[in-house]
Amino acid sequence: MWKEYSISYLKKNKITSISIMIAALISAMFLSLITTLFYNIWVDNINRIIKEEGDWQAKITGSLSEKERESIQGVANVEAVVISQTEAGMETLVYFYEMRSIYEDMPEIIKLIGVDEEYVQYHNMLLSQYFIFDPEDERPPMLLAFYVFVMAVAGISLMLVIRNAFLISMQSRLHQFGILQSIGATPRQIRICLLQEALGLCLLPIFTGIAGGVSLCYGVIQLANEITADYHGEKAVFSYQMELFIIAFLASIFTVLYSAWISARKFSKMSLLEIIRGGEEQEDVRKLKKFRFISFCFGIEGELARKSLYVRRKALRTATLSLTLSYLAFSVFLCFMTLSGISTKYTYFERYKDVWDIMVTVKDQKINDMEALLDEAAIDKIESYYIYQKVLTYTWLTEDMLSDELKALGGFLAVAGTDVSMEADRYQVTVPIIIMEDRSFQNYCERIGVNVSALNQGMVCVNRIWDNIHSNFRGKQYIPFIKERVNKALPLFQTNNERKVMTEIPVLAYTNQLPELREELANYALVQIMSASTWQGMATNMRVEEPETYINVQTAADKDNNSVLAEVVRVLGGKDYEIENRLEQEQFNTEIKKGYTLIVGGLCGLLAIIGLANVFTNTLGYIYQRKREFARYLSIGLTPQGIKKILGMEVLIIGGRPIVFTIPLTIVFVVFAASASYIDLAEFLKNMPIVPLIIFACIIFGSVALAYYVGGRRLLRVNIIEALKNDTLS
Amino acid sequence: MEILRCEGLTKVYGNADNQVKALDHVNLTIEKGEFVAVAGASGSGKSTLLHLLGGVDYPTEGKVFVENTDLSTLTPTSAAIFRRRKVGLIYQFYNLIPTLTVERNIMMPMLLDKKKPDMEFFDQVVATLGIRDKLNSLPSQLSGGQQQRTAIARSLLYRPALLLADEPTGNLDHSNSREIIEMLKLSNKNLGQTIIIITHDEKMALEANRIITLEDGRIASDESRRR
Repeated sequence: MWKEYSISYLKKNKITSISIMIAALISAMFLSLITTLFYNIWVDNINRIIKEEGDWQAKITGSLSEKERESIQGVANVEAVVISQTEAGMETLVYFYEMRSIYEDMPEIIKLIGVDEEYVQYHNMLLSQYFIFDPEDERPPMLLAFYVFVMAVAGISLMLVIRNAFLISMQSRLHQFGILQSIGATPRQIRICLLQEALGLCLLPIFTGIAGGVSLCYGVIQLANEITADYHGEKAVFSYQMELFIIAFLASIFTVLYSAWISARKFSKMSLLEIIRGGEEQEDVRKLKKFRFISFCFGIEGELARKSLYVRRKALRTATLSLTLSYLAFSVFLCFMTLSGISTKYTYFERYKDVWDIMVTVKDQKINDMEALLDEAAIDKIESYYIYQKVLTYTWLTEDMLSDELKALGGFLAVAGTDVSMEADRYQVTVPIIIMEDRSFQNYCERIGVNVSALNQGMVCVNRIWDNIHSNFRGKQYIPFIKERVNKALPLFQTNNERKVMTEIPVLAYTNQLPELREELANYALVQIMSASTWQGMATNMRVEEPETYINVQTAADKDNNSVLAEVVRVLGGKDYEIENRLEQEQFNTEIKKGYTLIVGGLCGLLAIIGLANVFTNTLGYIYQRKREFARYLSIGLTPQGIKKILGMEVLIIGGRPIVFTIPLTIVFVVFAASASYIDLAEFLKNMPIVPLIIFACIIFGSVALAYYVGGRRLLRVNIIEALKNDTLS
Repeated sequence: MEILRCEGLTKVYGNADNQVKALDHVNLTIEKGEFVAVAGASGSGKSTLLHLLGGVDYPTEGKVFVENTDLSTLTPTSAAIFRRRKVGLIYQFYNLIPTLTVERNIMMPMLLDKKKPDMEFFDQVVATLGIRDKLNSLPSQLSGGQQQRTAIARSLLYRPALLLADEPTGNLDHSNSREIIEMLKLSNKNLGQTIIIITHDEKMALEANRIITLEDGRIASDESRRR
């Protein structure tokens, strides 16, 4: 009898059944997508860590005897002991059967073989991927925990969607079950009926949803590979395990059965009369807000709509939260990307547009050989180039050496603050040295108007320091750093903890202009530019190796980049080098941004779909109660147009609420972020992502309106008489 | 003066294979200020008659005139406006709007018309019905009797031509039933309100000055009484 009753009900109430099936399908699909996606990210992380740092779990540095190794191997939990020879010396890698006890077993092992604790290293990064953390680490890596947290929140939200769909469907059937109970059906029979219905309705959508989620994940990974195909890095590989299917399936089926059971349990707590009345107690409103603003603006229809939504706020909670969060996240993300784009444009692409086009880093080559190589190649279409190396040294400055301008600002400490270290009455200052190939150095000197008679007698001091009191990092103003004393030698140290002067090099001239190089130099450093001849002649006692030589190339025009690049590659054939292309970087940056927008937009879309699914289940699931509600209005003179107005108001409130919440929060975020990063708000307004935000808002409004249109059509067919006293089975 | 007239009023439910004739060519005239009780067994068609008179439902055949307006020709919108302005409907289960206060519930027909109620009359009605101190309460905070009085106040506020009550005491105890009847009589007497009341209760029917008895959708008897 129950089987027939269920089949008959499901057939007669197709929309309700379909809304439950859709909720189960969407939830299972996204549950499967999220678990599969996070699993793939996790596997990718592990593979990357293993590739970069090795697959060892713990290691002991230094040589161990055969006997010591045997002792380690003898420990029950040790799976393998592997000897490894690296540049740093011998290492003994220890692998465990059960990694979780690594932080207990390893101290025992070193105690056993008598090795000091300092020789032991744990692969914390790899271990953390398995949630194994050093108990003494106060700040363990928590990225994975964050991923799991996000996954759990999304998973629970999706489970709530299924539960909500069931509750709404059950609510609409309360009076029917009440009638069945009144003629002798036991609560147990009704519970079994509901569980059977739940399984019958949801099994197929769950299987389909899981398959859809896996396919979507595969698509996302392929898309990510597609975006990064032309650039660097390895392709992500899709992987799937049966355990993932089992997790998604069990989570979905558990939610379905639990939701049906919860709904069934509600019956046992209600009186028969309440059930027969179709859960009218839901409208037993004891306390209500007044909503004067809505009443004032939209009249009694607005008030009725707002209050009706307020009464149903629990049922609409998923929709409210999901839609608001999705729109807020999307809005903040787009604004963040816009601000970040503006920032990158000015601090990188715009700033370096006329500084470099191609940057070559050649390893283990002499600087003068590079010059000869480029000369020999005689590459056309190069506007200019600098060949240089970099060395970081230090010097000490006393108060009397500082410029009057710097003193006027309050001294070095006032400007540099904690970025400067001080000892007794002197400051330690970093001195980055740019060693230019002689001809590049000559070009630089000519450009800054300095006449250097001989290339091997000293260096040019870029005598400037950022006046951060009167300017921000986006529009830096500079003042002289030290007093200019031509031909006075500057003492240089090799490392920052040495006191001994390694060498002293005369300063031939002072300037406030850096060479046009793609270099980010420290804010409060005293930069020195010297020729390769000076370096080779005067710094021979410095134990500094310059393994890398940089060639900063500016082409005649952007269109020449590829041909110049091809020629440079040809010339450097056989050497160890890396090449960066500014235009390609810019393009890559744009593609990455698109990828991020796609992924974050997708996640926001997912959240929005969860919310919209809830709106659909609400509009289609509460038909019975809403028919009674509207019949009441109609009986006292509300017109069909009035009902449409109420429904329209509800669309406006449900769709508009996320926007109303989002606008002020986004404004606060933008103002805060723009002022913190010194970005002009007018510049932001010019680039504001208004179109995608409007499109997103329209999609939300459109979908909510569609849900109300479908539900509203059934509501508008309400028969007042039937709705006000409908106790029949339908 | 005639306020209501039915001519050959017929209502048939169901499809061609399974037809139920709820009303069968009913002819009826009611004068302004009358207090009429429509009695009859279950299924005799009395609720159907009330719904047709209130413009809630449309007749299959025949006409209903209220103050010379033919209800059978009204569009759904015009019928709604008619219900709002010309009739006051009182139901057994009150049909108050649970999300509105008593005051807003009573004013609802006027608010739908974007009109301000005559506050003097409003005060008079709520004072007479004894719900002045409940104006800020929600329906769920009232007893059954208070809810029905609120429904009566709502039906009276627009000073409608007709007040139609479908088993108004069906959900109330004896004492509350008595009070509601007294109030309906009071509004009939003091305000000259025309009242048509549907009831099973013989004692209640005897309170009216005219009793119409329906049987199988036809008027079986129509007798005037002196109170």
